[in-house]
Amino acid sequence: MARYLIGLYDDEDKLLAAVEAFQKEGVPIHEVCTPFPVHGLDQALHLRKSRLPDAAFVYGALGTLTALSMQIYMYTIDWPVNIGGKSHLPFPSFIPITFELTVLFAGVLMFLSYLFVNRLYPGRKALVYDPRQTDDAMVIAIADEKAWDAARSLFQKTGAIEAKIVER
Amino acid sequence: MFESPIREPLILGRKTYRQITDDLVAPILGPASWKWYVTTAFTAAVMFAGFGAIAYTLWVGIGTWGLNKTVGWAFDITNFVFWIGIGHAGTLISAILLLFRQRWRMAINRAAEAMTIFAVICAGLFPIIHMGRPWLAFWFLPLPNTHGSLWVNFNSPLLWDVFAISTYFTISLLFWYTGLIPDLAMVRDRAKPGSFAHTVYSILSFGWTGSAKQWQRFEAVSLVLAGLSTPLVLSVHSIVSFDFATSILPGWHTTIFPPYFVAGAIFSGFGMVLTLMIITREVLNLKDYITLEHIDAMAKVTLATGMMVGFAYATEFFIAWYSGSYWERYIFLNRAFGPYWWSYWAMVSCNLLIPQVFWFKKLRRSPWFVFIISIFVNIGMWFERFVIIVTSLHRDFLASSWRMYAPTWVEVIIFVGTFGLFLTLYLLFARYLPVIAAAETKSILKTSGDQYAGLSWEAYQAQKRHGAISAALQPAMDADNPKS
Amino acid sequence: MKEFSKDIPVEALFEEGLSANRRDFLKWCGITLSAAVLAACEKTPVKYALPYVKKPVEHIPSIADYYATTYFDGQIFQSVLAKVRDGRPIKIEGNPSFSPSEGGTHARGQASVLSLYDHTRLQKPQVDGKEVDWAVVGAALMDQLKAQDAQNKLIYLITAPIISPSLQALIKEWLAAFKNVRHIVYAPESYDALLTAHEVIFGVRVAPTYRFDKAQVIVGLNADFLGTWLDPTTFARQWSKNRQLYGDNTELSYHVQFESVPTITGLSADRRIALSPIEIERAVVNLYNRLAELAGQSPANNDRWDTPNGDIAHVAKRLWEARGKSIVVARSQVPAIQALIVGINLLLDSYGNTIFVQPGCRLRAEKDSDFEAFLDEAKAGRVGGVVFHQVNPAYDYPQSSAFTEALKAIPVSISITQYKDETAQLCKYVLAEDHYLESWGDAQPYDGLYTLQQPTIAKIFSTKSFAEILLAWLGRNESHLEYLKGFWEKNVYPAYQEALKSREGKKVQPFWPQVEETLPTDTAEVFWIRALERGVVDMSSLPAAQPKPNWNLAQWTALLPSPQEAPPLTVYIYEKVGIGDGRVAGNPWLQELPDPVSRVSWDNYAVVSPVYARQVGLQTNDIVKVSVGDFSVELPVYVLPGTDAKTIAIAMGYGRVAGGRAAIGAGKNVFGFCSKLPATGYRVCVAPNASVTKVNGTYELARIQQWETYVGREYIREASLAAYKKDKRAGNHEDPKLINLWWKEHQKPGHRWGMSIDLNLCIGCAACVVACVSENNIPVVGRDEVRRGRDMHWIRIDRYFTSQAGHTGKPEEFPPAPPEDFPRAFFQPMLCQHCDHAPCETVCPVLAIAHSSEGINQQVYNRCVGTRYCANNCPYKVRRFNWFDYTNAERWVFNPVDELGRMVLNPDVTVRARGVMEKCSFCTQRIQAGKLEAKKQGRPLRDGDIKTACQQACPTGAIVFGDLNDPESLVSKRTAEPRGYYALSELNVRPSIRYMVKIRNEELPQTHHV
Repeated sequence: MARYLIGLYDDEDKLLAAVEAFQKEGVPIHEVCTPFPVHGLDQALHLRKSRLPDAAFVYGALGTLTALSMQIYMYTIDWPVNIGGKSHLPFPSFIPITFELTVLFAGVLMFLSYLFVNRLYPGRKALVYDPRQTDDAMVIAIADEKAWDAARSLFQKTGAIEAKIVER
Repeated sequence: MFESPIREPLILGRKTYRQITDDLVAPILGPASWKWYVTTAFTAAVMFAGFGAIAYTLWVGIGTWGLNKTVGWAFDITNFVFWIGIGHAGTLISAILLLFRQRWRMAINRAAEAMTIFAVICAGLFPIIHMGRPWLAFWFLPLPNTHGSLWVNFNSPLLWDVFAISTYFTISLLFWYTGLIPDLAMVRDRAKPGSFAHTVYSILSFGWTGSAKQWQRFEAVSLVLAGLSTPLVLSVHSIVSFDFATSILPGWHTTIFPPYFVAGAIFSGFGMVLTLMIITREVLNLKDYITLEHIDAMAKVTLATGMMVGFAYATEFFIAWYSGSYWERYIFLNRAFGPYWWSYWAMVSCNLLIPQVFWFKKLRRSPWFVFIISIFVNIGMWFERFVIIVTSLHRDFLASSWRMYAPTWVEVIIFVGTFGLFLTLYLLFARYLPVIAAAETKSILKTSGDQYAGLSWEAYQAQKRHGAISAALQPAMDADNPKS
Repeated sequence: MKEFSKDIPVEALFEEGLSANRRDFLKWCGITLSAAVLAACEKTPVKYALPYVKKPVEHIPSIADYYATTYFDGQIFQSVLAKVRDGRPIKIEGNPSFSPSEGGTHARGQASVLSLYDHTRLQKPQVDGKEVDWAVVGAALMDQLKAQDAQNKLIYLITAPIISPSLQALIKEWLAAFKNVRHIVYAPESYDALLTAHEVIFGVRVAPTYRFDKAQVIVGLNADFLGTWLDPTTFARQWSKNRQLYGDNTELSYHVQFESVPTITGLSADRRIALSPIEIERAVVNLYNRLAELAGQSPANNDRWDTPNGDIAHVAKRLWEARGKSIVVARSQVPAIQALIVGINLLLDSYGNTIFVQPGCRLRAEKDSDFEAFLDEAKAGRVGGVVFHQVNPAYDYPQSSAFTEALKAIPVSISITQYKDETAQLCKYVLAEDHYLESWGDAQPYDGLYTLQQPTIAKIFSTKSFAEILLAWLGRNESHLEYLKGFWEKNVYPAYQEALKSREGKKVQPFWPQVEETLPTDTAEVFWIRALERGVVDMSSLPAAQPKPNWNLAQWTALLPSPQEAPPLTVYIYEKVGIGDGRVAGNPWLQELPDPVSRVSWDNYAVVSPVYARQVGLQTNDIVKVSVGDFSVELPVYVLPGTDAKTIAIAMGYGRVAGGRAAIGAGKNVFGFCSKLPATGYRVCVAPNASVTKVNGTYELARIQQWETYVGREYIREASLAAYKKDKRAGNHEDPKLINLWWKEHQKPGHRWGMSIDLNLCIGCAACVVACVSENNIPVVGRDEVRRGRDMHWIRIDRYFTSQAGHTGKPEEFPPAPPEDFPRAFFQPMLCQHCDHAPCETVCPVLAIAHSSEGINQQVYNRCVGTRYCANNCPYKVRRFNWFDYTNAERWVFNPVDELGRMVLNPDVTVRARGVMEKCSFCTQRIQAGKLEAKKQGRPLRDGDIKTACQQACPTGAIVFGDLNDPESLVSKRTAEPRGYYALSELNVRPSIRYMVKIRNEELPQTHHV
């Protein structure tokens, strides 16, 4: 059971301004929750760029390898059969499946990693500071109680529609 | 990238974030109308009729269909290709338009993606039930098996299909659900805590909070999935077209098929999206989100793709003549003027001629008219596949085996049944999930809401620097811009 | 089994205390277990599987034995080998030792094995429809006949031609037991006129022996001698001898056919002229007249009629040029006409060269007037008893009501038959006769040529052979075998010794080509055994001279019909290859076999010409009412190009109401159109002055092929003999340059199986189709499924006509032109081509089709999941799909899968499950058997060791199968012939079957090919 001081904003531009202000004052922001993606927020918070796309590339490569090795093993090494006089290594025939598995691996594994790094899974208890954070309000949550006073004034200065302490 | 300085508003009715939330959550948490129950009951009945016919086929044999030694595929594969095609619009809208930053997609992508998934489910039925021994369908998978380690045939387009369709289904599903999670969270937080709905949507929303980090990853993933889906959607229908293109039958053995099929798929897909959206915006009262602007845009796409397939038809004929091969010449003349001439001309008129009315903006913007045209498009595209499959098969090389094909009631009921399945799934979706991507819509409210739209881009940026736009400025701006 | 009648003393055991240690416990377990096992053994279903306890030395389970025997159904004669697997005959093959046909077969011979396992056969003798024991109909029945005889009532024995010498002797003996008795021979398709003509002219009542192999010019007039006429299998073999264009030979016989309705004979001829049956008779007269002029003799009359093209004059000229090497045959029931045919052949000096009265052909013996006399006697109540054997007048006598009436007046009516047919149903006594594979017998199809018939299976039902019945009636208590053997020792054995002596020092030539060395004659026993083994005894001799003809033209011209214009419409009743006169109509294989010409199965129909159809606006499947006099019948129309415009042809043998499971409900009975010539009583199958009225509605015929022409496409290739003489590749084309996408072909180091099919030799007789059905357990699907285009035949004989567009049709032309009204035709056997680049293999997702290292396209039934993609992608459309579970005997009543019918299945071939694809396997089971045999004998395979079923059945040798890697094999030689081509070669699928261009000995109109 932790306590947070939260401030609510009704406009993403105010929010961005506020975040900048907090950063300038050096008030540690615990978390910012918004009902929709706010462009520039991650820069404002100096969030590290997500590496999921890089991961996706690796997954894709894995898929390619799997597909090729599977087909070549089954079709060329394990049991070569004369099919319509075609070669035992009919490379063009391998292309479609190779492509599909590449996409499949990349997509599925990346999705799973996405859930993992976000700690998203069925039945997880969501940490909702205020129900409006999925509706029309953007929330800045301050966990460090020593910084609350500073935060309060900043909330007022940056035109938060409301500031309160919540227990979650 | 380029942004048009003056934009048409995509969200009408001076919405606020709260209103958007309410508009979308209301039909979910509120009680359903009796109309919904009646319709769903009806479509479900049709669906079960279809299942009955399938059961009968499985019990008695494929002989219950109208196929014969010459025409080995007809309704089954026609329906398969038809449904797969329908699916493509969904992915196209959500993926390709996302890459092109087309904001108007946001109102329809959720429903279009849902449509994709349901269509693929319907399509997936057919390759399985059309088999002589469906209970052995798992032999399509490269599994070690009882026949020694006899593997599958990687030369066979049917096998490519298996991988293509399953990949397509999976990726579409993931893409769809990724977008759903935040909106499910939204529904969760509107539901009364402790209520059943609340529990369910909590589970479904995976504990989404909307933190900055989550949103950052969300956007990354959406973008990559879009990047993956784009070539995927192109590959899937190309591979479906390989079923025909890689075979030796005149009328099938055609290199034009991959692009031709993809264009056709998008065409039919948009046809179906229009059909569904025009109903949805009426029934769920979402005219403010699915605006005439949207319908207009989709109609344009339909017109364009329609002409692409028309071009493909022409090309086929030209090449058949130009090839000098009498097999080719015969098969195409036989399509247009043989015993199945009516199906060919139904195809041409529905796919090429009728959509030409979309040259007129007025017609593009009258929903019910567009609705009717979209029905024609659906019919036409079904006939396209019928024409390709049946007219090519029924008179191939040796004249001794030329035969006619006619469906039996079993095939017809199965086909109609898939519509039941499709619509039932769609109705359930419309009832229990947000039919419009709420978060995304909110994120474009300030750029496409009618109270903001009409500003030039620069003016808008300026306004942003001063904070929210005050209503006081509004009339002046409207004056500046006759468009709004 | 009563091992455990006393209970096991369990208590006792346990009283010894369970001191019983672990071992004891296990012992008891053991005992109980074995007890259980033994108890279970008690119910072994010996009904289905009977293991050899003592194995007969001469028999090895699962190894097939071949027994030479004889098939004669009263119409078609075949000397055959019965393939017997574990005690049950499962396949009929031609007997190569029978020199006239050299192992060729007829569709009906091939199909005969199926009716052996027909549960609708009579299973016991019946009296008034109730089953009785043989005792009841034995001597007792004979006494009844004697009683009738005693009252000076006539006793009649009415049979089909009896060609068995032993049976003839027995019948003579039986006849001797009565005072007033007559044995008459009856046949619905009567050759009486032919016999009479020869009787009057040569003094012997016999059909002559034709030697088409010695003829350079052959003229047939409505005589379908390759399909149904007299002894078609033999004639087909002989005909093919002069149709072989291999190596340097560039000579063909010249075959002209005048006919009213297309038959396989006419369609195989070099020139075919369509005439109405009336005009045919006139043509005979005019042919005689012209030849007489050429010979400087007096013509029959002063009629000088000819076809618009002057065909008769042309033919007369060609015949005259080939005097002594020509032959003219006609199907006509008018004695005067047959006499003129004899006259023609006399003018042409055919007798002694191509036609022989000695030795004569014994296959026909009917006399129509005898039967008329019988009816009169019966009506007059003078007949006390009648015995029918192999005849069914209640069905096939034109005025069947008259017959029925007559029969009522006869106290003792007996029918000896396999089925309770229409006649048997009217008889008081019905005696169940054996199937020929169940009984002994012999035959003398031609003078001096004997064949033996031996049982290949124990009698399935309580049936007897005709001879056994007669023996019982005569109170002779010897078995059929004893009698037969005795007869042969007394008669055939000495005669054979005589013949051999007379041949010594070439004093006398054997009449038939000697295909095998002579039989040992050390003792009668040895002779008998070897004769039985071979099935054929040839003591034929070529007589120094033929009997002096007593040719009196005037005597015949008196009888000739006065020359007249043909009436507008004449009904012509003809025979189909499969069904014949209807005696085998109960056989599902023959019913499903599409007629080679019309490609329709399961029905008969009114065949009309396109010309007539256009005049009166008829189409195929329309229903018409055809009537002549007071007889009329409603039939679906089939518009068949090549039919004479003034003729309506209808096949006999349909419309059975009893006898055989498939017979009933197939088509209509049209014997009512047959009539007897005034006074003489000759039975004719031509009914002039017919009227046709269209009836509302249509009837969908079960057509296997629905498009008549080959649209000028190049899978059919032909040329004229003249062109062939100039250029051996006439009508043929260089195969297009084929490029292989892959860098190397797959090696076929050992054997490489291939086939050659000569379109020049294929007469479309369809023996191969039935042989394939029998060999490969191909299901019979019935009329409805055939209508839906789901026939299952692995080999089909496509029949194509030339089209109106430049005779061959231009492939570019759209819509394709209809066939010519009087087209040339082609028969193309179509089966799996076993392509090296098989399109079907590539597309199968589950690898259910693979290519063997011997070049065979292998369909793996148990791997097939039934996507049908392979069938779609097969350019030859030879793949067949199991749409239903055809092993369901309740639903597929015609498919032999009931308890008994199943016995006909070939155990070496899988019965395919529902939902799998099937197709020709090149008889892979025969290939394996051949290899095995060679291996056992420790020698390499020889060419000809392995024959596919279709090849074995083919009477003309059009189909040749073998190893393409062996340059010496016949198939390699034929493949190298310049006439060879691959069907659809431009597709580069590399088929293993090479067809050979059809060459006609006739100038052809310009075609787009040349």
